[in-house]
Amino acid sequence: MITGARFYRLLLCPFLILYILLVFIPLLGLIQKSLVKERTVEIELFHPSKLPSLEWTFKNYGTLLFHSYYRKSTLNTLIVASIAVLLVIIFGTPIAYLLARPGMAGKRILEWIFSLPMFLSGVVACYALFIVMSRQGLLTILASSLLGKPVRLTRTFSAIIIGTVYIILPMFIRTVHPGFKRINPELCEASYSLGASEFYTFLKIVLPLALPSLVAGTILSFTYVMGLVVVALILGPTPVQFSILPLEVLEKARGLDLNIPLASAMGAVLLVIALAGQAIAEKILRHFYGGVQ
Amino acid sequence: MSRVSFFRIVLLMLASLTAVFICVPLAMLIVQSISPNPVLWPKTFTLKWYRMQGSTIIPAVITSISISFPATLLAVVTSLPLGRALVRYDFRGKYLIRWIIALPIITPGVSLGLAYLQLANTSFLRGVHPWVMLVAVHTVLVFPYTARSILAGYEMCNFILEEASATLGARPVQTYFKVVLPILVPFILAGAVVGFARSMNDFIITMFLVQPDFIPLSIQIYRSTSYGTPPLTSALATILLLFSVTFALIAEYTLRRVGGQ
Repeated sequence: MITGARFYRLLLCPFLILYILLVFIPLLGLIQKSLVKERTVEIELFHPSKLPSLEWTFKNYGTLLFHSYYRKSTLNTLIVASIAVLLVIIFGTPIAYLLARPGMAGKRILEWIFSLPMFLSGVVACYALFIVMSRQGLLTILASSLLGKPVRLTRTFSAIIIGTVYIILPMFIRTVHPGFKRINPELCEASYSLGASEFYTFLKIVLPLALPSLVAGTILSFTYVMGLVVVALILGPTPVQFSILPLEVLEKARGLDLNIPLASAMGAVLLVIALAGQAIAEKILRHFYGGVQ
Repeated sequence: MSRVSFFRIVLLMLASLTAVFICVPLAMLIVQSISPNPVLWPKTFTLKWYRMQGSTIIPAVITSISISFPATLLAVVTSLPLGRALVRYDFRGKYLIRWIIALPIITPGVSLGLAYLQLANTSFLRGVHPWVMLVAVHTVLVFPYTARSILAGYEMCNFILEEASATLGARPVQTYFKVVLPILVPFILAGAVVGFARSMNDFIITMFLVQPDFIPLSIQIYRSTSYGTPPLTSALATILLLFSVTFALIAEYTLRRVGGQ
């Protein structure tokens, strides 16, 4: 048995083997595939004999950048993410603040409810929303009577937004919550004793102090939505009418119009966006609060 | 402090409305799965959709568990040595490893799924049963959750206890199983529950890897949205919802125990 200071190397082995085989190699394969022309579904990286005959190209990324259809999908992805995240900030920030305040009745139940969607499958959440938005659904009936005319919700842009908000709201609250929790309650007490209202205190003292965590939560939610596909798949219009990047990956990888290299290029772009978002968010949290939470 | 301000009332209303927004669709899903015909609120209830779906529900649940359970177990077994290495030893690259652990969570589902599709189609893996591939992939999906929780567990372990055990003549292996592991149990459980839920709920990555004769519950729900009658889909979705609620309850309970110690 190996003992002593070097023992950690042995302890690290299972983790390293798992991640090298099932995280690094597949993602490397994805990037390799995005740089070639061959449309077969396999990673040439594993077949050194095939490597010399490969046609390397940046054309897949060129298509993404310059083809009007993919520009449109990229734009759609950004629009969905921006609107959904904006709504989540508006609703999520006050809720996170409320949950971080001490001694509130029913807090535990509210906390449990807001954590529920994290244990929920995206498919179940979206299908539940699909029912509420269907012709006989509660939301459709409510919206119709409010607007005074029949409303169609499923397979629309609004349905994608509602579904996305449903899924990312708990994530946002969870990321932002520690930022509010950290604020010293005595600061608020001092503000109250000087005659400020709770709302004024929230605006002038609490929000500025919680700002870094709000920014981090916003970035994380935004990049998460960029890769989210299940909402558009179940609640959204058909890809022909309204396409977003992650949906396009699925179409090009499994649909009739197979184009694995192009799908890989989109997958690689989404991967880089997600990694960059995570890195920036973590940097902000570490800079202002010290340490990863 | 209990100041009842106008602002506080607005906040409470906002929070309650959002809670309703989260709960009502789920409640309607359950109602729809036990109603004889698709109306907003039925007068009688029935279990006929579950009976009709029996031949789909049961194999799908079994398939899901046959993937998620071994994957969670494997993730716990690989997380235990990693946690010990990170907490007990000093070496370069520790921070990097903590970052790498989170990769399967950070990477978008479509990117990871597409990468696995290509891996599964690479010649030497082409003959492998989808179960093997899915268990392997789900181990990676569960790993960040078990690793994170177990790391927190090791950080709570007092090194002095181990030293005491050693001075009393216990061998390192004995100390590990008799002293360290029992302290870790609630953390292992907490991580495993969240990881198991993540694995069972996974849709997009599994979607890239499923074969027609081996379909887990989450994929079965999606398939039945495109060609099933709505109540049948609701019945399937309700089953997965019940699993999720159970996981959320267990997680709440174990986390409270962990926090209370």
